[in-house]
Amino acid sequence: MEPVLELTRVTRRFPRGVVALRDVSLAVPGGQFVAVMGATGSGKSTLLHCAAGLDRPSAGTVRLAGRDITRMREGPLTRLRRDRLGFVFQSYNLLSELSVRQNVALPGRLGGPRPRRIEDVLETVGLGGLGRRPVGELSGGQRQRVAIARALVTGPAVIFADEPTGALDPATGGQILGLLRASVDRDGVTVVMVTHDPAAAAWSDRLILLRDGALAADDATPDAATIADRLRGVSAAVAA
Amino acid sequence: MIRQALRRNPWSFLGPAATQFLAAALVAAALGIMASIDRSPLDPAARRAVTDSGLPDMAVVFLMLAIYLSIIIVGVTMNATIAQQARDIALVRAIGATPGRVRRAIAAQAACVAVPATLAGVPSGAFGARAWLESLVSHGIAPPAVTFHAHGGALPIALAITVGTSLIGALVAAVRPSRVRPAVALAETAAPRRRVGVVRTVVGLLLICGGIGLSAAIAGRSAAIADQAGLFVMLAMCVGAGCLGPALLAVAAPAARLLGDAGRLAADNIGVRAKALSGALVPLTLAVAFAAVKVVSYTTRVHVTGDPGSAADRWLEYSGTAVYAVFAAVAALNTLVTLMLSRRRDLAVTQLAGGTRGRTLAVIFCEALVVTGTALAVAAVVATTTLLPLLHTALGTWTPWLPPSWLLAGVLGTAALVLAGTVLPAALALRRPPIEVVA
Repeated sequence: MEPVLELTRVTRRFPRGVVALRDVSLAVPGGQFVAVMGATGSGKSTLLHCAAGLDRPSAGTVRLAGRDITRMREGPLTRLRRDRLGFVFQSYNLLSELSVRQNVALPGRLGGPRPRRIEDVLETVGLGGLGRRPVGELSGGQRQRVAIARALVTGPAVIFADEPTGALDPATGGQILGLLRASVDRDGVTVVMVTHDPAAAAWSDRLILLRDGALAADDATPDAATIADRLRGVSAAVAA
Repeated sequence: MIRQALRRNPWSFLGPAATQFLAAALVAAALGIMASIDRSPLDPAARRAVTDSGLPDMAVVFLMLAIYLSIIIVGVTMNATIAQQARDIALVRAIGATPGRVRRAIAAQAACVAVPATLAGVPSGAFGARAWLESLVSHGIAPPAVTFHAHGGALPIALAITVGTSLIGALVAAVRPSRVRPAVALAETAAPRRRVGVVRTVVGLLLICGGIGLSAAIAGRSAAIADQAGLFVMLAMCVGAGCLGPALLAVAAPAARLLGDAGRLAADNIGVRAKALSGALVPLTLAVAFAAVKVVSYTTRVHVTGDPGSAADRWLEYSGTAVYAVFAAVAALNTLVTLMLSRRRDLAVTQLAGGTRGRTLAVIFCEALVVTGTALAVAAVVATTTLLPLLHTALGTWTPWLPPSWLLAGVLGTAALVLAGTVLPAALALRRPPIEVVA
C-alpha cells in the first residue's frame, strides 16, 4: 500500500545558515499514530510544517495523500490541506469570537468537503450541546476539542498535531489524546503529533526521535518511562 | 507602558494622528477665513457687499461644522484605536496597575499623539485657507482687498478640540477594561460582550426621533430657519445612527448569507464585530450624507427651476463639501484599516483551516458589501430627513432629484472606499505565510 505521507531526503535551511532539518526520510502508512520527539530546536516543528505543506523544504520531496506537494502552487496546496488534512495546535488557533459550531463549520464554508454532520462530530469529541457557545468562553480542554472537531469534520486522511496537550493539565491532555487515538482506531485517520511529553507520546504507535535536525531513532513506541530515557539520551548528546 | 504601547503598535496611532491633523487643519482654516474677512482693509461699500454675499455667515457655518465634525470623528477614531488595546490593558491590570494608573497612561498616550498632529495641522490649515481665499478672489466671489490673516487663537482652539476629544474618546474605550476585574477583562478580550448596550440604543433612538421631529417642525417654517436648523437635524441623525450602529449592522449582517458560503462566514464575522465596525459606520455615513445633501439640493434646484446658478457659487459650495467629505472618508478608511490589521491572526487561522487567498478575500469582500450597503442606507435616511424640509421651504417640492449616473458614482465611490479599507489591507496581510503569523 502506498504511504499516506512520504518524506524523501528532506532538508530545510533557514536564512543565516541555520539547518533545521537534514536529509530526513520517512514513510507513514495510513491509520498510524506517529509521535515526533526531540529537544527544543531539534527540528520537530519544522518537520511537521514541511510534511503538512505549511513550509517548503530547501531540498528533497514530500508526498502527501498520493501527491507531490514539494512544488505545488499555494492555491492547490491550500485546497489539498483543506480537503485532506486536519490541524491541531498548542495554541488552538480558533476564531475565538465565533461560536463552537461556526468554528467547526469553517472548513466547509471555505469550500471544503462536508462528509459529516457538525452535530455528530461535536458529539464525538464530547461537545454535544455546546455548539452555540463562543469559543472565547470555553476552557483550554474544550477549545482543543473544538480544534479536533474542526480537524475531523472534513474526514481527513492525516491530522497534524503540534504539541496538542502543551497547554493542558495531564488529565485533560489525556482526554484529548484519547480523541486522537480513537480517530486513528475508528476512522483510520493517520496522526502525526509533535510533543515533548513522554506520557503524550506513549499514546502513539511509532516514535520518531530527532536530534539536531536529523533522524535519531524510528521505532515502535515503547512505554512512557523508556521514552523519557531515550529523550534524555538525544537531549544530552546535544548538550555535551 | 505608554512607550511600550506606542512602540508595539506605532501604525495603529497613524489613524487618530491623521484625523487629528485634518481636524486641526480644518479648524485653523475656518478660523483663518473668519479672521481674514473681519480684518481685511475694506472700504464701507466693499464691506457691505461682502456681508451681503453671505460669505461671513458661511465662514461661521464652516467653523461650526469643522468643530462638530472634529469632535465626532477624532473621538471615534481614537476610541477605535484604544479599544484594540483592551487586551494589553487587561494584562497590565493583571500584573498590578491600578485603574487610575491605566487611565492616566491611556490619557497621556492620547495626548502624545494629538499634540504633534495638531502642531502640524494648524499651519497646514492656514496654508489651505490662504489658497482658498485666493481662489475666492480669483473667482470674483470676494474683493481683491480680502487677504489672508491668521487667527491668533487657532492653535489653542485646535489643541483644545483635538486633545480634549481624543482624551474623551480614549478614556471611554478604556473605562471598561480598566475598571472590571482583570480576569473578566482578559476573558472579554477573547469573547467580547455581544449584548448591544441599552443606554446606547435608547440614546440613539432619541437622537433619531429628535432629528426627524426637528425636520418635521422646520418643514413648515421659512427657508432661512430650515437652512440654519438643517445642520442640527443632520448631526443628531448621524450621532443617533452611530449609537444604533452595532444594532443596524447586526440586522444587516444576515443579508450576506445570500452570497453563499463566504457570505455566511462574513455574516458571522460581522455579527460578532458589529460594535467595532460601527466605528467606521459613523464617519462613512457622515461623508456620504454630507455630500448627498449638498449635491442633491443643488441638482434638485436645477431640476425644478432650470437655473444652474453661477459657477462661482457652485464652486464655493462644492469645495467646502468636498473638504468635509474627504475628512470623514479619511477617518472611515482609518478605522477600517485599523480593524483589519487587528484581525491578521484571525485571517491566518482562516487560511490554516483551509481558506485559499481567494476564498479568504471573498469573505472580506462580502463583509465590505454589508458595511457599504448599511452605510448607504443609513446615509440615505439621514440625507432625506435633512433635505426634505430644505427642499420644501426653498423650492416647494417634496421630491429630491439626482441624475442616475451621479447616484451610481456615489454608490461606487463608497464601495471603493470600503474595499480600500478592508480588502486591500487583508490582501497585504495574506501575503505572509499563516504559520508565521500565528506562531
